Amino acid sequence: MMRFLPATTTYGKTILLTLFLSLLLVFTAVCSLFWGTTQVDFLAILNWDRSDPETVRSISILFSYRLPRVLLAAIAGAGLACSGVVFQGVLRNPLADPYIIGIAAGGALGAVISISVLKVNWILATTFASFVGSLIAVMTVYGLTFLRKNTSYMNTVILAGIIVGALMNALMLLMMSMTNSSEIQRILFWIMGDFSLANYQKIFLSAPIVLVGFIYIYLNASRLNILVLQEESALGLGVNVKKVRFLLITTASLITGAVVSVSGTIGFVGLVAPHSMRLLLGPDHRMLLPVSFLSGSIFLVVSDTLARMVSYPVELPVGVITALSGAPFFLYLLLKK
Amino acid sequence: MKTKLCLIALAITLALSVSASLAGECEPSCVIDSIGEKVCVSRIPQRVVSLAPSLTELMFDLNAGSRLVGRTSRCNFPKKAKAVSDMGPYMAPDFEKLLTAKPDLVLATKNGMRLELIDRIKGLGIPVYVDNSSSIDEIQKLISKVGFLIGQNQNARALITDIQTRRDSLGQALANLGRPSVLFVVGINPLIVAGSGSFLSSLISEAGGKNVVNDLGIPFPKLSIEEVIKQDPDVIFMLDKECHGIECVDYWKNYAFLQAFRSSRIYELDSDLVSRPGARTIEALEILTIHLHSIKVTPALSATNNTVFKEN
Repeated sequence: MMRFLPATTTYGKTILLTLFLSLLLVFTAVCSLFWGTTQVDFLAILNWDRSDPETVRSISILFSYRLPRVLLAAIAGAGLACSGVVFQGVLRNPLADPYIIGIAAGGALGAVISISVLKVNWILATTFASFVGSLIAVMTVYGLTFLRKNTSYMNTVILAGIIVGALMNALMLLMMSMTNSSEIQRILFWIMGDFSLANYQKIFLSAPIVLVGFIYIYLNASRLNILVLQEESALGLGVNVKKVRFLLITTASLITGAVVSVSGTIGFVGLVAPHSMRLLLGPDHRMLLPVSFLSGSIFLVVSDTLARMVSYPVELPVGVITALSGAPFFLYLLLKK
Repeated sequence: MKTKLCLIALAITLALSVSASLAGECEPSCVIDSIGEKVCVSRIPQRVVSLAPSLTELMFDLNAGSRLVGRTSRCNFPKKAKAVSDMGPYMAPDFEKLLTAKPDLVLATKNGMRLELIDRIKGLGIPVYVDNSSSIDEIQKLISKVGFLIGQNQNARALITDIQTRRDSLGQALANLGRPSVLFVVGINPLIVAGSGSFLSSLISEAGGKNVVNDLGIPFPKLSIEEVIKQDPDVIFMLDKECHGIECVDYWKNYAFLQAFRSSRIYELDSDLVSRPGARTIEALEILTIHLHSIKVTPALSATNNTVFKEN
């Protein structure tokens, strides 16, 4: 596949692919905005005649409902894919996903506590509670890795992640068993991933973290390439392994925590997007990072559009769509090998 | 002398057996409950456990509240119900507490209990009446059957007649009125509504309205806001467990062009009153009718003098 690109250097190829995927993302987003019921009358919007009720309705659907959804889906997909790349690189495991160190479990526990115990109706309360939950999960995992200093870093992190994830999941199930049925429905939709509650506040909270985090990770792309090697080789090549690992994982965790807090725990994006791009383009992170970032975006925008449209007027949770597409992907991997 | 003693003994035995049969210990009384199961009691139940708030209210309405020995923690109406011992949360009562109360009849709703637990209780020889009423017709049947089971036929009949009278006067009031379109919101963040086939939807039709959410096959779908905009319902109902007062109206402020918003026809309803299928459902219907048709309160409707109207 690499042979078909007109450029020869990695840098050149990266630029081309990034441009192509950016255009594809914009195209997908615009399609998603305009695909829906026949409610949105675009000519009316162009007139921008506020006194016409049809125009007001169309503007409202577009700008209050569809646009925040599409933007948030794009941000979330990008964030999950990019942090997936980091976790797969640092942990040297192509099947690592951003939730491996318990971030999803922590975020979900925070959200469940907010919904069932605090019962506040402010939408952002769940967002902040979830982010705090993710932070606590990550800090607990770090704490546990400090306890085991002499053994393999990857195994320690994965093990600590399993411990923290299991504990937080258990607490979450405990809280769920004690709440009443109407809250359980709300919790379920949150856990399965839901963009119907997207608004501009959530976008302004998550976008900076995702974008700045991505830029920082991208600037460290070559170091990430070296980290994939054995620890001794990396040290020999002048990379301060411990420090780089810590900073990269922290950044990726912050990105994931931010995404989970605004969109729930959507699975498979952080796994399918980086993995498929790695299969197509190879493991060079200078190319893999921007390509996964954009393809994760596209994947989630498409999934959310499907979630919105497939059984209209009932809305499916977007996690259902990503899971349904994730399974065939892994089947393909299984058969390919 | 011996013959005389025998005759006296015989007479006493006869008297005792007659009084015993008068006490109701003869053949069982049976009804078929909402899930098609036969429920039989061999004598009038004196220790009844109710596993749903609507059925607790029903026991008190039938003047048999003193026979309740167990209720769920959600049973909060009437106030006397709080004195009955608490069997635990609504869908997961404490099985041991239930058995310790030694009930001779258990009342439950289909949606409020797992059928496995109900089967377990039945397996212990305790009759269980399972209710699944989803319309006011079925509520009247429920009252009649439970009334029969607990030996309160007269009270049951009086209650049914009262409900029917009030239904008839509602029907008359609605005779020549149109059917406004209604959206019944049961959850916000995310938006979940009552679809056709749900109990709340049957209340809408009975109160002379038309549910905008139809033919979805799901009783409580998560609805796309685009559909609400497309349907533009005349009236929106919200439940007070989801929002209070001005919050219910503010929820829609991004869509202020909706008819219901512009004409201030977003109403907050008492969730306990509206969602419990029982004798108070007729009160809920009257409130819904008044909201839907803005009709003046007629003397028949004003029989509900302890209702609270929450209008924005």
